[in-house]
Amino acid sequence: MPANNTIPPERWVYTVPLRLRALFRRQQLDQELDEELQAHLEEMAQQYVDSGMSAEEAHYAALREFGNVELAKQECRDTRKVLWMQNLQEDLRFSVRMLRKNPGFTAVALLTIALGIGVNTAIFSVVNAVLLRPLPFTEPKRLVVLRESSPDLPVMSVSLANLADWQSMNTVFENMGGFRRVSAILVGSGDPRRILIGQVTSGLFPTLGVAPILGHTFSGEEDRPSAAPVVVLSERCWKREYDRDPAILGKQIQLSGHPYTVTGVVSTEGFPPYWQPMEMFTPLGRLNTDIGGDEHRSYHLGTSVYARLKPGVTLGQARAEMVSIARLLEQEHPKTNGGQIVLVQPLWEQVVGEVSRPLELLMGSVLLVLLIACANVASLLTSRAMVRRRELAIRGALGAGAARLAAQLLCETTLLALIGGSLGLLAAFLVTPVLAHHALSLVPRAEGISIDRSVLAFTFIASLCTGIIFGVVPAFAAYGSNPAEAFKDGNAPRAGLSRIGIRSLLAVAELAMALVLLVTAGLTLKSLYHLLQADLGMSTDGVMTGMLNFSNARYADDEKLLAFMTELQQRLSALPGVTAAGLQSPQLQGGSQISFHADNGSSSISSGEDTYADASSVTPGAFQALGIRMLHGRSLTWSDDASVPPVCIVDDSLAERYWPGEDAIGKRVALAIPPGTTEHPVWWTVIGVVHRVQTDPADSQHLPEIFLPPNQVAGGRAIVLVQSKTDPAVLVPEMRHVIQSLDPDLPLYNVMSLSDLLDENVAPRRLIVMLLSTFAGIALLLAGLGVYGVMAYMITGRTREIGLRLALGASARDIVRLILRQAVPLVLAGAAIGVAVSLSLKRPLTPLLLGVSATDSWTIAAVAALLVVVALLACCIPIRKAMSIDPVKVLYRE
Amino acid sequence: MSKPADLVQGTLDLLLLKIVALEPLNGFAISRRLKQISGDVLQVSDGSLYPALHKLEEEGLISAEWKLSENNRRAKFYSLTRLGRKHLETEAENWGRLSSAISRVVKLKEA
Repeated sequence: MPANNTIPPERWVYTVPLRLRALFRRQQLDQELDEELQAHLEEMAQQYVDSGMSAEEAHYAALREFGNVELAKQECRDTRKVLWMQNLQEDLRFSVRMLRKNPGFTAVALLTIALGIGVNTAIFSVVNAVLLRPLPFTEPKRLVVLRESSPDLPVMSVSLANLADWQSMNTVFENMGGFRRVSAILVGSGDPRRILIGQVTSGLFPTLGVAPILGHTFSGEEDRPSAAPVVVLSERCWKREYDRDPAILGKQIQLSGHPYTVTGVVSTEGFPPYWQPMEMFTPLGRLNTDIGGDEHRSYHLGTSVYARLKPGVTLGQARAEMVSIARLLEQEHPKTNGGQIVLVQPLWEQVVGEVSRPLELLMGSVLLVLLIACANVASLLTSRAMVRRRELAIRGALGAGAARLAAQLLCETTLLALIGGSLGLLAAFLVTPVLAHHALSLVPRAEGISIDRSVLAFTFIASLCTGIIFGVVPAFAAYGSNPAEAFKDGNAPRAGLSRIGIRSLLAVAELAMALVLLVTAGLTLKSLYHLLQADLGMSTDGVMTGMLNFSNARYADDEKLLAFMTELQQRLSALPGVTAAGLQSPQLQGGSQISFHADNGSSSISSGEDTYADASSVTPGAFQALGIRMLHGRSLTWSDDASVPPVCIVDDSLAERYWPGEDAIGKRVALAIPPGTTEHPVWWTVIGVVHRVQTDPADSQHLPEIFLPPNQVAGGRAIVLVQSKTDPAVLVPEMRHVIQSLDPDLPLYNVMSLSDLLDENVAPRRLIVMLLSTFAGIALLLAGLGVYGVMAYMITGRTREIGLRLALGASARDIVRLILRQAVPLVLAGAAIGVAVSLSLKRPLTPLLLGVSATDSWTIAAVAALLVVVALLACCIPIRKAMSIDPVKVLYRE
Repeated sequence: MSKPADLVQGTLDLLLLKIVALEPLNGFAISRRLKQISGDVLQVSDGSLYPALHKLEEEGLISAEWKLSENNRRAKFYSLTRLGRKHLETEAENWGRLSSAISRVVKLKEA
């Protein structure tokens, strides 16, 4: 009969209850086993008694015949097949007992692990939501974004004429569609409200694979020029404005005074952040007569194009094809498409491209924190393993195998890791919502941040790995020790070289990792400081801003709009406490970049070089309100209107570039107004030069800026700027009141102070710096604890030696020197390794920094000094302990 | 002479199953029956009898019940389960085939 190890399924009926019984009613089974064997022995003895033996003789005879009763019992127990589980139970119970016996050690270890696991869980929940979750479209990997690019403007939106050509010429895309965001005023259920509208071509929703949840999206017919105006609602807007009423289909709604018929509802749940705020969608192709067609080929009005690759087509093939299409178009339309190429970028990259690197940096940082935490707990466990050498040796001598002892130690560390991990998870449950709240406006897809199943799995695995990492070190340390030696020395362990060695190595590693984190935090902090110190070219003190949207038909007439703006500017300036008020309106709806060329002295207009500038029209008062510094010439006034030759103001970057060393006043620029015009028919004379304004110093691409007279409001919107001597927030009700009195249907939106507005450029960096500094702080604390642990352990091990030295007349200074001789090499080694590693991180760090080199020697020197100071401070307590050693007591013990 | 380890692997199991197949017995009675039947040729110490019984029980081939023995003592009585009966049939058949084959081979040598 071959031994049958695997149990066929039909036997489970019999065996499963037996296993359960073996596991949970062990005591009863053991008792029954005793009873059974006892009964056997008694019956056998009875037999002997019957054959004439005395009771005692019979008892021993029975025992002799039976053999080793205890061995038989053990063998019977072994048949129960759940031995390993019993061992585990025992180990767990023992581990809990050990952990409770050393509450100080347990608390420090648990807190350390909880910190490490907590920050990792929190950051991983962000990484998971932002980088790991797929986009909510069918086969999102095949989606790409197409944009145009020219030597002057590396990233441009797409002109509708080019989009149409791409669509008909390409063979690599299944489908493509254009998208452009505009705003309008909705007179719906409440007050008039400015909303964002996505103007899309009919191909867009099919390209993304988005089906309407009600009605239909746009057909090719509705996307034709001059088709009847139709609108598709987002689910959010449908709910908010129309209470999810299905009867909304076919109804008319008013957008900026124009009627639109509702044809469908789509869900924008999980859409890229750029799309999230869209409340409605209208057909883009309907506007073709205004902005499309060959005559408008150079209109780049903020349209981006989304396309779906055919199955099997690679990104490289798509890029190659778009390059050749761009070449063909360049030959056909040299004036508008000269030097232009097409950028093909995965949608994924567009959505999370900007945040992926900072998130990777944060994740790397918290993993370092976790490693430091591991090193710390490993260090603690190693010294405890030394203290427990006696216990381990006794258990070994009593017959516990080496594997069994190691399993027990590993069980203890795993238990520690899992409890610490659970605490960390609890902390993460508290921290993650706060983090998610801060990230919401700064990080795309942050709305999905939560501790979900994959985050829980990550936390569990991280905790388990943590336990194994820091459990292996002390297990080795314990193995390495000779049990016989452990018996010899009942006191605190001697400071054997290898013991100190392991802990010293751990401390050096901790210091090095902490320094890397400190350097990273220091460099980003310096970047932030640089950013905050940068000269913006304007003053944000006391300035309140808000937006107005002039898309209503009422403002189609330039005269009326100008009259409105004049009236508004004057009334706002007259408000009590207001020092200056003005309006600024960008030239275009999608952006404000227009092409221009500067007069280079030659008489021919077309000989100048074409470049791009930010153009906006400003009313009197706008420069004062913004604190923009006038360098030469005069400001713009209301009388610089259509009746006089066109004038403009340029910033000094433009003046320096085109007329270096000359007086810019009286020079001329030709502007493509209306936008897309290629002929630049009109010269604008420069009447003033202002200091350049940098709204986002982190943006290396500073376009020259041109300011036009107030009558050039072409973008359909304006920003209202009001400067006051006091807190500008108190002005908001009065600003609204003034606007309401002029036009009750014109809402003032995006109301915020200028400093808050500009803060949006800084906020992401600040969040990163805040997080990195927190992690670096934790790392510094843990590394300090690590150094403290090593030194305290060393002092304990050398109590006798120090006592003897003191008794022989060593001074306090000698003792300090003795300890520092141990500590300083550790600290310096850690710092040196940390500096070396930091220097090698130049490449990944550089893109995240601003105005500071990744190897900035001041930063590195400063944080290294900080690390050394903290590490030496950590030695103070052990030094004091060494000083308090009483030589008399030590000598007595000898 | 033969210690239990020398028994052909699993033979003891077969013997035990056969013994309890006739009637439910306690360990002591099984031990006695084993000696009676095999006539001291198979010396199975009581120390190895019990682990073997417990193993069969854990495998679900026999089941145990506490009853009063002939001497009015509480004892654990083992009986064959349905699974054990099936197991016994196939193993007995295997054994028959194996032993006749072996004895044929052995006789062949003598001839």
